[in-house]
This record gives sequence, structure tokens and C-alpha cells, in this order.
Amino acid sequence: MKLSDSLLGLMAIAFGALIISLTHNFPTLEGGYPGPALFPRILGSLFILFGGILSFQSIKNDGLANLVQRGETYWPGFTNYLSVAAAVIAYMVLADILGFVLTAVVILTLLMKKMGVSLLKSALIAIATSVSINLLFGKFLLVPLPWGILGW
Amino acid sequence: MSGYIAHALSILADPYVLFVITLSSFYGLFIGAIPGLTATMATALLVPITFFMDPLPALAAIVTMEAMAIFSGDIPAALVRIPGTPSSAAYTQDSYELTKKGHAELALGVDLVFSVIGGLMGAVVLIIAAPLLAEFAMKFTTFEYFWLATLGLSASVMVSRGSLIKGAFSLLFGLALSTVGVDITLGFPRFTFGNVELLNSINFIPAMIGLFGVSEVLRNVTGKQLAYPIARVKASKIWTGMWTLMKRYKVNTIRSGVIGTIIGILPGAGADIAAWITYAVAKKFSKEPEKFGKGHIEPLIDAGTANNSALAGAWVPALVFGIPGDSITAIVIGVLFMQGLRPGPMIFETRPEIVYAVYITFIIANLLMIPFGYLAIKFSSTMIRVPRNILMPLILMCSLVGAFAINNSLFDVGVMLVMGIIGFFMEKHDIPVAPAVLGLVLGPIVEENFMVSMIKTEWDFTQFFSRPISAVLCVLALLVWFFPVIMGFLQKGLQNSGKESENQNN
Repeated sequence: MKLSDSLLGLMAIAFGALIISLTHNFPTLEGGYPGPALFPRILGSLFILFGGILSFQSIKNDGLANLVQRGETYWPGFTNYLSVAAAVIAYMVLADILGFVLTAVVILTLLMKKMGVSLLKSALIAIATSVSINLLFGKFLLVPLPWGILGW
Repeated sequence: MSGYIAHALSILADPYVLFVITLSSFYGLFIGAIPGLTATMATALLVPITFFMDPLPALAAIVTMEAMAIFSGDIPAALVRIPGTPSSAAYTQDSYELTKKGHAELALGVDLVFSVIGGLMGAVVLIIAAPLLAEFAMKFTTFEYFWLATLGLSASVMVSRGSLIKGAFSLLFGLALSTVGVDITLGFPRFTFGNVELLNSINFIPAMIGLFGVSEVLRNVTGKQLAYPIARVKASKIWTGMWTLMKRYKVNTIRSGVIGTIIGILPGAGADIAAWITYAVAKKFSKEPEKFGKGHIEPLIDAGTANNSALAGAWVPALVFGIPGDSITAIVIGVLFMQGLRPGPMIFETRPEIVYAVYITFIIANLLMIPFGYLAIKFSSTMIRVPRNILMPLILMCSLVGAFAINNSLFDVGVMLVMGIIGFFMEKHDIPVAPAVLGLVLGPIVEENFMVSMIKTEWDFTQFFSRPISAVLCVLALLVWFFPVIMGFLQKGLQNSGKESENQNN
């Protein structure tokens, strides 16, 4: 799925407007000179300007048809995308509870399995990688990774 | 000076540093040879590890890695017709056609030899130009730095391939991200939404890992897995005929090495742009332009020299002004800041051994490329065959650990995921990612220098134009901004005069 340029332009305009509206309560410098709000407002205005140009060009050339182009839906790709995002979120939730090694083994095994690697192979690679990363950071670089309540 | 060189050499000769250099060589060769994984991604993933090293081995690791990766990107271009990194894209067609004709060894030999030559040429320019510019840059004040950073930002948009407006979106997005956190003038928290973690602004490394690492994982897992036949190579035969080619194409080599380095020095334009431009230049000056794209050796020589020379070129503005020459040096500047080193002319006075170490590593890395590159070619088919469905989860895990380790913060892991999704969205919609990175790095520099200049002159704008160097930089920036407009007029003018002459002919 791909958004058309006219839609991208409109999104940029909205984003620019949002930035500017968020600066309304920013303080000014002594003598009324603009302070913290100056740069964000310039950026917001440029977003609106360039967004306007892009939408205008795109609508002039293609009209309002094809706002969203639908490519051929490739389901394994879509579910892979979701599982990658889910893996990161799972890490954020689990790392402090289970500790790095256990979390990493679980996430890697499931992710590789999802991508079509056999369960045994996934598990073996996951264990080897998680233990080596833990050694690299814990012993070589002396950066502790999350221990978890189990202490490993 | 020789004292500093000796000091730098003695640090680099440490077995630990040599071990780091060797490991990062193999890492660079491997990532470069995997189609779809870029040298910038390799840098982003390497940063969390270098973060915990001393600055010298950290920089040595990045320099070696990038040199190796840009060469080894040529390998899958020749063997499976997919460039390993975007820098090899310009001559992928020619490399693969050569392989189809049974000349894979010739193509890979040229790739290796001319990568080494290009890399060394870039290193020489870096060594000569950087100290000279640094002396000049000592005269710079906040006004000049404002214009310089502005110029760098504008150039990054101008050289991005595709729509200029989309390049501008990317840049503005990076700049907008850089405004999150406590502001420079009053210490006012901007766009933090009450979140304590955002007060210190968006952490650069997780953002980088997201934009380059996670987005590439997403891109790779959402596409169909392609099975491709890989041509076999006899590595021992790659040296045959190289000497003759070096003699025959010495003009090409020098020309492309010089152009490549200059493009590298230009802020925002890196090895990939250098390859495309020298490809076009080579075609223009070639005696056999009709052979380009059909398995000709000349594009490999020209663009292959240029992309490696651009790497060292990009370090010139990075070290001298703190303005990155490409997206890899943008990351490097972030690393230097975190190591407590402020890149800029002062670094040549205060920490000269850092500068010399970069010089020396560039030379060592390019010489090491001869044996290591040979090994990479020998084991190329094994590397390219590494299954994607195992590699991508592993890269994701490395990204996770890297984003987390910098501050032991799970919030940073979240930043990484969001940036990864944004990076993936941008790439899908042909919005280049590099200007965003430059914006994120240079945003605070532009704003700080502007605000400080304004406050110290009590909002006297004329100072930005009346100081001599400042005025020159201002004119350059204006030229860059209005370049598309001027070109538009010129093209219209040319078309009109073309039409007129056509009419006259009729």
C-alpha cells in the first residue's frame, strides 16, 4: 500500500500546523524577541509550504484519483512486519522480568520460526546468539544487560 | 607532528586495537556482501559497541568497516545482479553482464584493485586538505557556523536522488526531531509532553539504529524471498590483467578519484552519489560510450574508484567543521559528541592523535583490503547464500541490544521501533532518509549558532551578511537554495532556443 503524493503533501501540512499549534504557550525572550518557539515555527511553516507545493503539483498532474495505491497484498510480508514490531514490544515488556538471555531466546526462536526456519534450528541459533551477545556486552564491553528476576 | 603520528601509531599497534580492526574488517565485508544491507546500517549497529571503547579504536573500527563494506557491495552486484550497498548500484548492470560473459574474475579483480586505489586517493586528499581547512576554520564564529550548517543541510537535500520536496520533508523531519527537549535559550522543555526521558532530547543512537537498522529489517521481511543463482568464481584468477588496466585507464582513475573525493567532501553527498556522477562523467568522456551498461569494464573502474574515495572525503568536513559529508560521518559526529569530543578545528590542536589515527586507519584499512578482499571473493558464494530468514531476526536482536545498551533504557528501544517504522514508511514513499539524519545532527548546531549570534548582537541581522566569510557562505547557500529555480529557467531557455533553431532549420 502506498499513499499518493497529494496525500503525503496534506499530511505534511497537518504536521506543520500541529508543530506550530504546540508552540502557542512557549515563552518569549526579554524585549519580546522570539525564543524557543522560533525554530519550530519556521520548520512548521516550511512543512506547510512544501506540503502545499507537493499536493498542488500532484493534484494538478493526477487529479484526486488513486489517493491510495494498492499493490498486490503479500500476506506473509504483512504478518512478518507485525511480528517484527511485536518482537520489539515483547522485548520492552519482558526484558526486565525474564532477563536478557531468556527473553532473547524466546523472541528469536519465535521470530525465526515465523519466517520459516525449523523449530529446532531456530531454538539452537537463538540460544547460541543470545548467549554470545550477553557475553560480548557483559564480559567484553562490561555493559550489563537486563538480569531479570531469575538473575540470568 | 611526527610525535603525534608516533603516538597514534603506538595506540593503533596495540593488539586490542588490531583485533578490533580485524573484526570490523570481516564485519564490513560480510554486511557489504549481503544484498540489501547498507554500510550505514552496519555503522548504526556498530555504534553501540564502539560507544564503550576508547575514541581511537572506536573510530578505527568505523573507518575500516566502511571501507570494506563499500568494496564488498560490489561482490553481489557482479555475482547476482543485486548491489550489496547502494554505492555499487551505478555499475551493477555492467558487472553482472561481465559475469554472464564469463568474466566474473575480471569484474571482481577490478572492483577490488580500484577500490583500494580510490580509497588511498581519498585518504591522501583527507590528509592534505583537513589540516589546511582547519587552520582557516579557526577564524569562524557563530555566524559562519550557522551558514556552514545551513549550507550542509541544503546540500543534503539537493543531492538526494528523486524529488527535492521529498528530500526537504526528510530534512525538516530531522530538524523537527532535534528541537525536542530542553531549548538552548531559556531551557524551556519543548515537545516533551511531560515525559522525563524526552527532556534530554531524542537519543541519537536509538534513532539511528531505528532509521537504518530496523527499517531495513522491515523492508527485507516484507518483500518476497528471492532465490537467485550465484555464479562461481576462481578467486586466484582475479589479479590477471590488472596492471594493464591500471595503465590503460590511469586518466579515468585519477579523474574519478578526484571527483569522488570532492563529492564526498560536499556535505550530505556520499559514496553512492559519487558512483552515479562519475559513471555519467565516464560515459561522457569515453571513447566507447555505447558499451556502457552492456558489460563494459570502464564504469567499474570509474565508479568503483569514486565510491571508495568519497569515504575519506566525507571525513574532511566532519573533522574540520563538525558538518558530516555523508550519512556514515553523520553517525560518527554523534559518536564523537557522546565521547566528549567536539569535532571542529579545535580538535586538530587539542586531540591531534585522534585526527592522525583516522588518517592512518584509512591507509591501513585500504591496504588490508587487498588480502581480506581476496578472502571475501573466495568465500563470496557462501556469504551471499546466508539465509535471510535467520539473518533478519539476528539483526533485529542486535539493534534491540544496541538501542538499549547506550542508556540502559527501554524507552530508547521504543524510540528505535518508532523510527524504524517511520524509516520504512519514508523508503516506501521515495523519501530519502539521509537528510533526516543530517537534520537531527545539525539541527542543534544551526539553532544554537543562530540564537547565540542574535542574542549577542541584540538581533542585528546585518552581521550575518557583513562579515566577509559569512557573506561568501551566505551567497553559496542562496545559490544552493535557488539552484532548482535557476536550472528551471535555464532549461526553459535552452528548450526555447532549441525550438527556435529547429524552426529556423525548418
